[in-house]
Amino acid sequence: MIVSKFNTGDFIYYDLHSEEVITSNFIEDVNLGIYCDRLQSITMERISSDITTNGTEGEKKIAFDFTNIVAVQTNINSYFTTLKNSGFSLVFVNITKEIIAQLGYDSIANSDNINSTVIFFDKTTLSPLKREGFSLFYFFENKNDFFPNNFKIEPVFKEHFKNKLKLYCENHDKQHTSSYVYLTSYINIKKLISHEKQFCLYSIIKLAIKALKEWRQSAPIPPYFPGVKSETNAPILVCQSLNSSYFVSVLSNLLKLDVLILDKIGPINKIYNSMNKSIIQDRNYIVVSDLVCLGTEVKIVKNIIEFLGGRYLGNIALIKTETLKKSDIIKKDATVAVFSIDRTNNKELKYFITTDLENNE
Amino acid sequence: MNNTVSIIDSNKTFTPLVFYNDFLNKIATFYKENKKEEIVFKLFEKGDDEIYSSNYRIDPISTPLLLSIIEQLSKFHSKPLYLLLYNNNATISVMEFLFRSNFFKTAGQKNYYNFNGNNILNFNEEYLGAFKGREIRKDHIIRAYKKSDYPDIDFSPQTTKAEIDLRDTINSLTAYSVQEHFTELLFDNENTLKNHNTYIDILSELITNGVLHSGSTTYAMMFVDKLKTKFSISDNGIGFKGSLMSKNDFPFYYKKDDFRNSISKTNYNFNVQFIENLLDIFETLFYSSLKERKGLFDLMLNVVLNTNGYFRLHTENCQIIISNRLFKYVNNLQELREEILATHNQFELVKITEENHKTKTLEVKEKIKNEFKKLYTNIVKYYSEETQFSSVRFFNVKFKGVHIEVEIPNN
Repeated sequence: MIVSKFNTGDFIYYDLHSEEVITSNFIEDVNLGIYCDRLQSITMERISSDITTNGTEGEKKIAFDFTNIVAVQTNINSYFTTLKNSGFSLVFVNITKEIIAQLGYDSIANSDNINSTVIFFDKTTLSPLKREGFSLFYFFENKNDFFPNNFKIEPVFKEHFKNKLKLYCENHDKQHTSSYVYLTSYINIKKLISHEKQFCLYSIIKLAIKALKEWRQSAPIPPYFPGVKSETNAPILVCQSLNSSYFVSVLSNLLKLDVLILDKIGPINKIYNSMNKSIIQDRNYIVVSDLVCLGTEVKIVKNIIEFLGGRYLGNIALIKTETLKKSDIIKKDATVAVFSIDRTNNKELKYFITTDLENNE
Repeated sequence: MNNTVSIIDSNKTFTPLVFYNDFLNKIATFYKENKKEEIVFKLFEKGDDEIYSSNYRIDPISTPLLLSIIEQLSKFHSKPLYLLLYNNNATISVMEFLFRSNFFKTAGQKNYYNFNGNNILNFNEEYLGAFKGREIRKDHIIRAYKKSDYPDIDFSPQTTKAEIDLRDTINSLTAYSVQEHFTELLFDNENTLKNHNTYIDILSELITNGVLHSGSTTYAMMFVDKLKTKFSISDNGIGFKGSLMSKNDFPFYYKKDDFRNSISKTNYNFNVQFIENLLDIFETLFYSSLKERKGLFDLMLNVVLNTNGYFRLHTENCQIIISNRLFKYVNNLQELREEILATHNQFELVKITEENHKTKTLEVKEKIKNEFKKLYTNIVKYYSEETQFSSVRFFNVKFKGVHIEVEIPNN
C-alpha cells in the first residue's frame, strides 16, 4: 500500500515520511505515530517494489521528499543507488546534510542543488530545531531539466483532492441538516473513506501534521514529556459524529492522544444529561469533524465543552467550506483542514449554498 | 542439598564482572562435581538465614547475562531449571527490582497478553509479593527478542541478496521495537539525546545480529542512572567463530582467516585457547571493517569516538574493552574505515572502474590490517604486564554466545 505517490506530469513524487508513518503504524503496528522520523529499509523496500511492479507510467524521474525525516537506517543507500543505476533521475527534497553524508552521497555535486535550513520539531522541548541541509539535492551530476526550483506538493495535492471529491459529490437539493440553508450537492464522505482508503490515510497524516504545527506548543502535544499525560494536559480529541469517529481513531493513533466520543451532535441532534461525566474540567479539547460546512455542530460541541469547564482549543476537519472572505475570518475560529471548498473550486464541485431569499442583483 | 548454586552472594554486588569471574566458576565447579544431577539455583546465597547481616545487590545490566546462561543450561537439561526464592528483609529489594523489571515474567512460563515467557525457569510464584511498593521506571525492564517474534518472516535465505534483504528487514523491525522500548531512556540526558539516532542504530544492529545468528533469545536491558546510561545485550548462539565459519564465499577483499594468518605465532604465557578466542574477535572486527555495509565495527567506533563511552565485548573466554585508552588506534581506524567506505561507494555510483576499486580497496585493506596488528600487539602486550586495567580479559570458564555491554557517561 503506497499512499503518497503523485504523478505531477513531469515526475513521480513520494513522501517518505508519510510512507514511514504507514509502515510503522499500520503495517508493523508499532504505534510510533507521526513522530517516527527514521526512514527504515522496509519502507524503501515497499516504495522500490512499487516502482518496479506498478511502474512509473513511463516517467524516469522521481522526487523523494525527506521532509520530517531526521535519520535513516544504515545501508539504506542501496535502494537509491540501484534506482539510479537502472536509469532513474532522482531528486531529494528537504534533506539534511547529515543524511546525505550517511548515504555516502557527499561526493555528488550538482550546481543546481539548493542549500537551506531544514526545520524539525524537537520532541523534547517542542521548539523548532534547525539543521543544515538542502531544499533540493540532485542525485545526478548533469544539468537539471525537470524539477522546478520552487516546487511545492501542496497545489498538486489540492488538485488531486478536488478531482477525487468530484467523484463523490452527489446531487442533493435539500436543506442542510443542521443549518437553515439549501445545499446543491452532498459530499459522500463515507464513500470517500471506503473507496479511497490510501488517499484518505495520506490526507489524515497531513491533517495530523497540521494539527501538530498549530498546537504543539500551546496544547501541548507531547510524544515524550516528563511526567504523566494528564499532568501535562495533552489535549483530547472529540469525535462528534459517526464519520468523524473514523478520523478520530486514526488521528489518536497518529498523534497519540486520547479520544472522547460525543455522538448525536449532528446530523441527528440529541444531547443527554450524562455529558458532565465525560468532560474533564480544565482539560484541552480539539473537536474533529469530517466536513465543516457552516460550523453549527462544531459550535454546539464547543459550547458543551466550555459550559462543562473544559477548554476548547479549536477544530480540525478533513474538508472545510470557506463561506467568508479570508480577511473576514477570525483566526481563532478558523477550522484547520487539509482541503477547503472556496470560491476557486466550488463551481467545479457544483457545491452551492442557497437560501429561499431573493438574491441581491 | 548439594545440587544448588547460589546466584547473588551476600555483600557482593552481582555485576557483569562478578558474573564472568565468580558465577561462571561456580557453575563449572558444580558440573565437575555433579555430572548427572540437575542444577538448582538459589537466588540468594544465605537464603532465609542471617537476614540481618546480609545485603544483596544486583547491577541491572547483569540480568541479560544471567538469563542467557540460564537459557543455555535449561536447553542442556531440556527443561526449565528450578530457582529457589526467598522473600525476607534482606532480599526484598532485589526481589522487587527483579519482579518489576520483568525478570520473572521473561524467564517464567506463563503467557501474557502480547508477551510469552521463555519457559527457562521454574519457581514458586507465591514468593512474588508483599513488596515495599517502590516503583521503578517503566522503561527499566528486561527485553527479549527472538525469531518467533516475527512469525511472517522466512529465516532461511537462499541467496546472498536474500540474506542482505532479510537482515535489512529484521533491522527495520528491531529498530521500531528499540524506538518503542528505549527512546524515553535515551531522551533522558543530553549526551544520549543528542545522539539518540546513533544509539537506535547501534542497539538495533546488535539485536539484529543476535536474532539472526544466535538461534536463541537475545536479552537486552538499558538502565539510566545519574552518572551514566548503560546497556547490555546478550545471546547464547553460535558466536563470531560460528557465523564466520558458516560463510563460504567472501568478497575479493577478504579470504578466510585473513587476519589470523598475518599474525606471527609468538609464545605468550597464557592459554592458547584464549588467544584463539581473541583472534576470533579480531577476525570478525577486521572483516566488518572492510565491508561495504556498516556493522559491528562501525558501531564500536561510534561508541568510543562520538560518545566517550566504553564498549565491552565478550565471547567464550575472552572479553575486549574498547575505550578512550585506545584512542590513537581507534582514531586511525576510523579514518581508514571512511576511506574504504568512500571507495566502495564511488564504485557503486559508477564513479571509478572495477579495476580501480579493487586496487584501492586492497591498498587500504593493508593499512587497516597493519593498524589492527598494532592494536592486537598492544592489547596482548599490555595484558601480559598488567591484567587489571588491560583492554582484554580472559576468563577460565567458557560462556558461549556474544555478550556486549556499553556504558556512556551522561555528560
